[in-house]
Amino acid sequence: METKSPFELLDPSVITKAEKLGLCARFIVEGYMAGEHKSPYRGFAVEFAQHREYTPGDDIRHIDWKVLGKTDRYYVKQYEQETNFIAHILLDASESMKYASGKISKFDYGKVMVACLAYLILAQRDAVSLVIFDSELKKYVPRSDSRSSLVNILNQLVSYNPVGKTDIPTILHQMANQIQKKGLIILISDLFDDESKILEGLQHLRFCGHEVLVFHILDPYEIEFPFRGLVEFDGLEAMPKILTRPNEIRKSYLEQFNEFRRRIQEGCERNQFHYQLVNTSQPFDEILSGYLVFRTKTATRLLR
Amino acid sequence: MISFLNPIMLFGAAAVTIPIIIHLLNRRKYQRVTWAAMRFLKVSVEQNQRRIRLEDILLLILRCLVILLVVLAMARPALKSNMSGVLSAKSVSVIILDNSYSMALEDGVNTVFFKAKKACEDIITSLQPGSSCAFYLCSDTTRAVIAEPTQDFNLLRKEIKEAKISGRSTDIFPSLKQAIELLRSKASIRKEIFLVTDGQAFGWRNWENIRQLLQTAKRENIQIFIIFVGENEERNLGISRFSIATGVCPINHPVRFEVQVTNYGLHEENDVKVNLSVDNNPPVDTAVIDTIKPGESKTVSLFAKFYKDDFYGVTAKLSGDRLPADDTQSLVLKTIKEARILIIDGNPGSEPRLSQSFYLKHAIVPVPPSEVDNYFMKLTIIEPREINNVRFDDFDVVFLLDVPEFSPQILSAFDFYLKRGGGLVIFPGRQTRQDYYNLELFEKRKILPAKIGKMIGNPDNTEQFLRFQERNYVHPLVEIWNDPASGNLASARFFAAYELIIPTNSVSMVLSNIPATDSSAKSVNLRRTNSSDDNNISEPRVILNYNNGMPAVVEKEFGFGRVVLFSSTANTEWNDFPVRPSYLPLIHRIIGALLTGRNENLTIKVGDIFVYKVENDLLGKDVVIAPPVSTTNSIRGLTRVDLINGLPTIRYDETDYSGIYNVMISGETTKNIRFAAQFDPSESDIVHLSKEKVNLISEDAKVVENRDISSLRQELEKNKYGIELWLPLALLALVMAMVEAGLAQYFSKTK
Repeated sequence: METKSPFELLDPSVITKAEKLGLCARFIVEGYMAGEHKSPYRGFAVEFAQHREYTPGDDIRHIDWKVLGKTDRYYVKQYEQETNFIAHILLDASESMKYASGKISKFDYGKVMVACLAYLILAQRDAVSLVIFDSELKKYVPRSDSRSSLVNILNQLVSYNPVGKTDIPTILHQMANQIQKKGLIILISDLFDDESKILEGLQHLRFCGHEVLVFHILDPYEIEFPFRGLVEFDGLEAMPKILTRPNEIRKSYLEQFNEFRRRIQEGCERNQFHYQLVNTSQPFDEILSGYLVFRTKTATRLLR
Repeated sequence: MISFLNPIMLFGAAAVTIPIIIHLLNRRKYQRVTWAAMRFLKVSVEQNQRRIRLEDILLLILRCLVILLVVLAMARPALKSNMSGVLSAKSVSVIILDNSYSMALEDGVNTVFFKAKKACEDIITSLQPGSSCAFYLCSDTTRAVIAEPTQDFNLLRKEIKEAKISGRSTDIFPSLKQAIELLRSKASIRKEIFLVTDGQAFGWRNWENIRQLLQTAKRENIQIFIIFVGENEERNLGISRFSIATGVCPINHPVRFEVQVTNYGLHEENDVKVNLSVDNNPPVDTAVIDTIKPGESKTVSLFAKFYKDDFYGVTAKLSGDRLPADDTQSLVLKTIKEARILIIDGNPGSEPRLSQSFYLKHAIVPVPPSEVDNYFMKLTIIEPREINNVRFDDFDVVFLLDVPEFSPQILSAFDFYLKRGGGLVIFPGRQTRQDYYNLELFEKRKILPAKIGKMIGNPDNTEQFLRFQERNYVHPLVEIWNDPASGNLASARFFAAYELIIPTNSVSMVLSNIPATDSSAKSVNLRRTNSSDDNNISEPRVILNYNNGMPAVVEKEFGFGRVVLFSSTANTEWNDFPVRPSYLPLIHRIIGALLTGRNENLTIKVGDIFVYKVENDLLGKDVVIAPPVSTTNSIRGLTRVDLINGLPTIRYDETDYSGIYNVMISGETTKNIRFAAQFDPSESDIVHLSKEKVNLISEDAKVVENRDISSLRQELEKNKYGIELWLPLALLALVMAMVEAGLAQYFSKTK
């Protein structure tokens, strides 16, 4: 029987249901981990470091029962790589994210990405928060390292429908001002905004001590612009229509588009943001790998 | 100046709107895409919009241009220019070759006709490949040898080579008209007519009409080339008339022939010898005319004797000159052994001199009593009371002189007699009962050619009288008196006569009254219609009118016979005709005509139809007609004996050559019928068109004179014009289409 990849199993109907989305995310992550990748539990915070007195809310699985037996006091184990990382996932929910050349739109893809990342982050005992935004903050799930918060995240994801315009820089600055503890900022967006201002926003966050990971999510048609014939492009986010022959302007479009991407990428590299281009036609492996690499690099810096 | 050979195709220019419409319609057919990355699209579009628009416009222009060029090419534009070669327009032409007998004029080596044929060959050689040409022979009739323009130049050359001179005269107008009408129906930038003729003025007698035609042709861009191959000839003698002078042609008696010779040249001719021969034997008689001045005609009498009752071909011939065609003229006659004449004298009078028949009998038998028995006219005179004892079939001609009336049996006898070929001559008089004649002979039996009306004049009043017409004798019986040398018919005085009333629908009555205003019209008048033309076989014909236009002598065919009706007495009771010199020859001519029955016209004009009645048992038999041996035409005509107007008849119309024709009926070796066709003497006048008229022609047509014949081809080449543009337009359209396809391909590449 042919085995389909998790990506191939991705279906719009899955993304609209939180439970299915969660299962899908889990499936993707564990499938990824069961493959060539290392277990998130190996090499990551698995070595016992010290005890800490139990406080309510700690995961009871980490209670050291031996110490309890000996001392009648509740202590939790702290592992070597145990973190206080908070990963703030910022998901762009502007109307431009609704574009889809196939079955799955950028936003749908972003939702699955968020689900997978949240699952992975929580599995690594980091905390995660979610911000869904367009020109303003639309939805917020506060940070939590509890697995139960995943459900909340998933519920917010599936219920949201992007309609508004984009204003990424404002949100970034807002986040920079609001988030006090250093953490990971994971921006998932098509970045169809003023890239210089976006970079400024990201710099602000970086200045505040956060580590920034940018997932630049784009549709393959936006990347390749393969249209032929006579096409009327109806712009999302209230842009005017344009009737043209795409074949005749393709070269020019790609120049513009690639230049835009180059500026973003160079800006990110210059400011030590981790930049990853995400093509919605590709499986999630690279995304997860990208995150894990980033996680490894930045873990030390955040712990200092 | 550009003109279009297929102008209706220009309406196809509306198809130029098709690419525009398609372009506009295509702009409504597009894919709709909801798009996020508008900012990059907008910039790209702004950067390339102008270029895209220019490309669109360029392609649209090219497409419209291709359609326009195709439409123009299909409309076949043509430009007038002197250019030969690939682009030179093909022509549609007509060659008209004059084959009238004046073209037989010789220069000592060749005839004018030979030169004309050579000119036609040059014309064909000068035609562009792909051109087409028709070929007409022109005389007084147009013969379309190749009626529709053909591209088969070999066929053209063959027909020209085989063309022969006819015995006809010339009339340029009908051929030119027919050629112009033919070319009018053809679509071509170059339309040409080549008229090759000797330039004889007689052929251009329809001068005003011809000029109008030339002007019309010029307006319609039909170019006419008139090639004159003849030269003015200063000397020409021709036989202008040849006829039997005596009315009857008996065997063993000399028959007198009259030959009129005319000097058409500019110089006096002396010692003109005229020979008479019978059936191509050596001459039987010769006369010499001492002198004929230019324009003058002289008549000589020649005699021949015949010894058998048969058809004879008699030929008059002059010594040859450069136009031999008019130096020989022939006629055919049928001799008789004897003529049996019956006179029924209705009023014998108290003494012989007062009888109706006194003068007539002396006219019929004009010999002394001692010679009466030997004379070929055998005369019997009776009175009406003896009529029942007579068998009309015993007589060839019956004269009724002032007979009041007849019994029904006699009327029936007349009926049978006439139907079997008898001749009846009626002279009315004082005793004649008009009402009886009109009722029985005119209305019931239809024997009489005219109704007898009231008496005109008073026989006792000699102060007032009518005369016969003085000129324009059309009927064959009296034609001879057109020549004053034959005497004067109009000398007789008629003090009283009956009015002869001919039915008003008769055509022949008009023919005798055409006035002669000039020589050309005169020649037309002299050209009588054949008396046996189908339309008036049994119609009455006027032989003579009085000078007031009233019919004086009328005749009619009845069955195989004929009836002649006079309006006045046979004796001097009402007129003095019997004592006039013309009385005897007229009576003899009438008898001669009645003796030959309905077949008096053994001598016709060239182009006329020969009609001959035969016996009933010959109906349906094939008839072969051999043309005159003098022509080089060896093709025999074939016809058959058909029933025409109830009588077995031989009818033949291919009488293009002058001379004696032999008629052979299949299975009838003893029957030796012959007839002669005589040329129109008007054609002998070979004076050319005047310089003034040639100059006038040159205004509307290109005239090539005889001196330029050797360089005719160069002359023709100089006048070629016309270049068709459809080919370069079509090629340009093709190039445009390829450019459009290439550019469309290039523009549609991803940029």
